[in-house]
Amino acid sequence: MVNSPSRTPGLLKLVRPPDDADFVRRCVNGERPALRELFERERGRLHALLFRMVGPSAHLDDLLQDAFLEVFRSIGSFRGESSLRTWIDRCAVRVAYAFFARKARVPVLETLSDAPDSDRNAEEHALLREATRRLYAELDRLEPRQRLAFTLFAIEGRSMREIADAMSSSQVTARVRVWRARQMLETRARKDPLLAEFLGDPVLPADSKKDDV
Amino acid sequence: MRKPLPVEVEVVSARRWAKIERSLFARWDEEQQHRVPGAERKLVRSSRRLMAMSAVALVALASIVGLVTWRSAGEGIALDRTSRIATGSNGSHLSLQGLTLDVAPESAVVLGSPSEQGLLIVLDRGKIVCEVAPRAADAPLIIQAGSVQVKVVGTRFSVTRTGEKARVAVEHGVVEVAAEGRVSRVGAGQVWPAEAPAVAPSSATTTDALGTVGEQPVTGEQPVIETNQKSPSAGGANPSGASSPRNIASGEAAQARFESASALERSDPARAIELYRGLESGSDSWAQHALYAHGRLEAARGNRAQARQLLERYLTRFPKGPNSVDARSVLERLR
Repeated sequence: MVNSPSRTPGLLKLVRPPDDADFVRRCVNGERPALRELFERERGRLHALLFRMVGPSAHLDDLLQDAFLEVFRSIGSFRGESSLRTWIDRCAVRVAYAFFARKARVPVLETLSDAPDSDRNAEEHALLREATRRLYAELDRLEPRQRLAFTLFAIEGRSMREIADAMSSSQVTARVRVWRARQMLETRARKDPLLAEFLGDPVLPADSKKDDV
Repeated sequence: MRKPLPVEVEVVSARRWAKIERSLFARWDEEQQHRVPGAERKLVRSSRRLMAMSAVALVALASIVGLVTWRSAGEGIALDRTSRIATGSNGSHLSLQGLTLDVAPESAVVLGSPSEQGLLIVLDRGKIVCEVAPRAADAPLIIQAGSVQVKVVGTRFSVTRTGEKARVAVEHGVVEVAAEGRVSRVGAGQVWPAEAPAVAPSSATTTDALGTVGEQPVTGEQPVIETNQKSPSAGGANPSGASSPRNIASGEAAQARFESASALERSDPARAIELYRGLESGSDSWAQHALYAHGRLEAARGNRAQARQLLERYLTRFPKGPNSVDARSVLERLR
């Protein structure tokens, strides 16, 4: 396997944009242009991350604001040990966790907004929307930490190491959470062919350990 | 290589981004205003301690000499800074001095700090019902819902926000509603803006989730206040149909029934269908949601003929309904 930045912490510092330190300092000082730039830079990515964790929800805009407020408030504590993005993701995960912990349940009725026309045909699109709706309905039943770990792994495509980092847990704990969530979803999917098809093949076979390093 | 599940992230319009950014920085500015700089924090903390001790001493002294007269203001709490309340599937009840506030489910409000100029409440989304004890006329309660401003000195009323539009229903007292440069007085039993007569099924798309009309009259005329008081002899019959408080409540009940049905789809589909059927005959937005959901559910259960019939009925009644694209797709699949 080729050396990845995630394996060599020293390399992280080399690949990090050189202007990060100055940019962070400006954010810490509360400079409005810097905060706006941070919002512009990260909003799309953070929105996608929250969307994948929470699902379609009327609360998403509020959560996005909460996540940015958390970032603005705490950026003074950013020590540069991880990349700024990883640190921001951690803030978003905390906000999502707090949301689930408050038991502000995502209403079942919320529908996905119309996605832009793509090369998928309408039927595929309708099926995808329905499958997504069912997936998030099932995710609503999960314990918040399991849900977060699962969505980060199976929807965001993060590695176990990244999940553990974002959730401030060990990789073993992260893997157990994903596995338990997956078990529960697969049990449900046995009665729901559309969900089963959407989930596809098991994503946590024995060889998934290679993700963990 | 593991492939992520194909969850499509919703597209955020430029307008929505702008709104998020505006709200975010407004909240951030509000926070900064109340933030105590680090160097002053210690000083403030010790001053607070001193003030707390003085307060305790004063209260004790006052109790001993019997000089304290308790002016009952209910069990309210006092606001000393801006607060934001966002409700989930459950609503919230708040009792402040001289004000009780019921925040409906899926709503968000920002409560400002009370000042000599009055108290400002911003309704971000959803619905609130306020009961306000008589206030000094120069310190009114002001509710901002989008571009609509409601000024009140003592009454019970509700404000519902749908996007940039708002609806005000007054139970007793009088409020002033300012919108688009015009000020209207809304009295007991009246609603603002004036609403169209009961909607026919085909025009039900203009009715929002709470059974309120989402579009103001487009004639550009001065909003007309429509008296909505119940006729004592008519047994509550209301010629303006969907606009009465009773119908608002029925809209909420319909929403609750629809949500129950949706939750029951997997565990008790027969009961879910029964609930959908009960809603379908209505003319509000929940009727169209129920009709579509019923059709979709029948399709999922393999009842193709029935599903086709329901979805065709949906498209006939609501050809431009919010689920019309999906309904057509499912129909195509069923053919």
